[in-house]
Amino acid sequence: MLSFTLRQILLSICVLVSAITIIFCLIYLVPGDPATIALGPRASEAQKVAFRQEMGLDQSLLVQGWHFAGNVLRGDLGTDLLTRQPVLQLVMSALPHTAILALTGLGWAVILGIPLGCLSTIKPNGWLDRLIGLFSTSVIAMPAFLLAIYALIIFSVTLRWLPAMGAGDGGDLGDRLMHLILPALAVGLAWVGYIARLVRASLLETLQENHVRTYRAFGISNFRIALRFALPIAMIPVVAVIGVGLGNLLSGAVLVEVVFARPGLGSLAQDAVVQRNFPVLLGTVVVTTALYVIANFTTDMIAALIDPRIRKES
Amino acid sequence: MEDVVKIENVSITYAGDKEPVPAVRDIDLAVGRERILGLVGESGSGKSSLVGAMLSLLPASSRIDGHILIDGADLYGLTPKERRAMRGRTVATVSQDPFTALNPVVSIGRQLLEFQHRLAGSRREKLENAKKMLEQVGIADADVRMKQYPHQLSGGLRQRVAIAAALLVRPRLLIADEPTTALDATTEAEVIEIIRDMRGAVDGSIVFVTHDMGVVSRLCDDVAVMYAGELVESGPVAEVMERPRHPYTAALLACDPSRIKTTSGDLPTIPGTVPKPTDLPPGCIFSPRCPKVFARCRREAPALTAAGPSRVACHLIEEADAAA
Repeated sequence: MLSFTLRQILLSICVLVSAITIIFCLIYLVPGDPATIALGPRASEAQKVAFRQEMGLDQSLLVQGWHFAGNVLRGDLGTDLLTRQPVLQLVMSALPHTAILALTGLGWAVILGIPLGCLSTIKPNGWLDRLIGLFSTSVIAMPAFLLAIYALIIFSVTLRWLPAMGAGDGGDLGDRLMHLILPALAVGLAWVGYIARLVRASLLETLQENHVRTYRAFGISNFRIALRFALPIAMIPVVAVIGVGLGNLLSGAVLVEVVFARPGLGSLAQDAVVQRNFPVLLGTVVVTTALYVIANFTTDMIAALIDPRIRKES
Repeated sequence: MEDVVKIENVSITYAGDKEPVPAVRDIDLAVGRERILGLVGESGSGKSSLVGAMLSLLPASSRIDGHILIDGADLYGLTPKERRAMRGRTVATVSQDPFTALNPVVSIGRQLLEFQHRLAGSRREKLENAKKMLEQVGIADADVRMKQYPHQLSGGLRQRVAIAAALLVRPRLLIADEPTTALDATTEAEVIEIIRDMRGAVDGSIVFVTHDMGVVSRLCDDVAVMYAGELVESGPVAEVMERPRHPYTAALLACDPSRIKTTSGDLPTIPGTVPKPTDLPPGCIFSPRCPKVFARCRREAPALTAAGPSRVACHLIEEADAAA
């Protein structure tokens, strides 16, 4: 298990480094001059030159990249072109909002999706299975931002049950929770359907396996076989997909944050793109990538905890 | 002699895509107390369906006619819940493929503990029993094995674990469904040895399914030969091996490499193929492949008749009786 963990950590670091390199190159391909945007259209050429010099934008891509990598290692993500605040500080104050949104969204998707998937397998192609299937495909097909807008109109504007904007008052936990309900619903609903479908397919396949017949031959109840012995095996591919899908979920969170005017990495990235605020954009994407890599590492470790064949030292 | 298993006029029909598939037809068979019955037949002979019915593990879409009595209880007169209560207590099984029969993500010890769920005793006692049973089936480092997972064990070891699991519940009927087919010859010999040694641990009978006549002669007391879903011959092993009365039994024995005296380049085979259950020949089911076929065989299906200590379904028996 130890060598498996070390290998996974090393792999995660490699992925992170490659991803950051690619992102760095991609961002500098985006058209638009940050100096013009930061200083406004009436800034003189001399001012722009000075600005570029100050920010290191006049140097070659390679040098900028080298500096950036060194800075990232020291925990310095650069300075906001507009407010002159350290990017790290901006990103770190936005990060908890997004992390909580993504985790609650995924959390309730898992809590609902797994039982729905299990229920589907009681009688495959029975009416319950078909009903759950219909629900699942519908919510998978619905884009998160569309759902967010309708949820806003119904629950905030018409019914006035839930707040519409922001993340709530910092100190008031209840208020923050109320502000979390709708965005988390919007982020996670598609995932309820997705996880339900995955669990159904995976569990049905596992229930066909020979060791399930062994348990049945020993008279163990179908209920116990399914939940105690087949479900953990069925969850292995589902866990892997959830890890990969967390990246998807983060991009879903970006749109939802914009709709609900919530602070977070999504809103931060969106503003940065509009303002050509490269350091902020880069910092946001780097932290998002890191989150994604951490999520994958976590799901790999969960899969290894379930399945001894994965943690087998090879 | 008290019979642990009585199979009376059992037919098994699967719901096929187009038409019902009569996989097993009208089987009459009994297994005596403390006897090992070898159930022999080619692939598609219906032997797996028959043991599936004894284990009440056939798919819900299959129809079972007739009666299967295990320890006096009519299996298909019981409720599904009562049937399940017999599994893992009255009946236990060792399955064909040791590589897939155990749960890959649960340790051996934990699985052996689970299999004893119908038995009384504390968790600690059950684990202790499991360890002892592993030692009895010839696993040396039982303590280590209990903590390991199936993928860490060889095929032979896994099959020993599976046998230990079945024996742990001290069943009245142990069904071994081709437990050696997936194993190499050396391991097969060891597994047969273990079952022979352990027959005392079964407080009843063993049904050993195989397609290998050699295994039957080494292990079993009685033998039942199935062909295309029907019982063609049954009797004590010594009798059937010495005097195979049904041409199919004789042909099976002729195909057993261990019984061939003269060395030759090719193995004998039975010409033709087993008929599909949905497309059975008229008369005797073996008639299209039978070397001794005569006119009556193609018209009329032979009934199972006594011939010495054996029972045989062949017109030749009646003809011989008539001649005598």
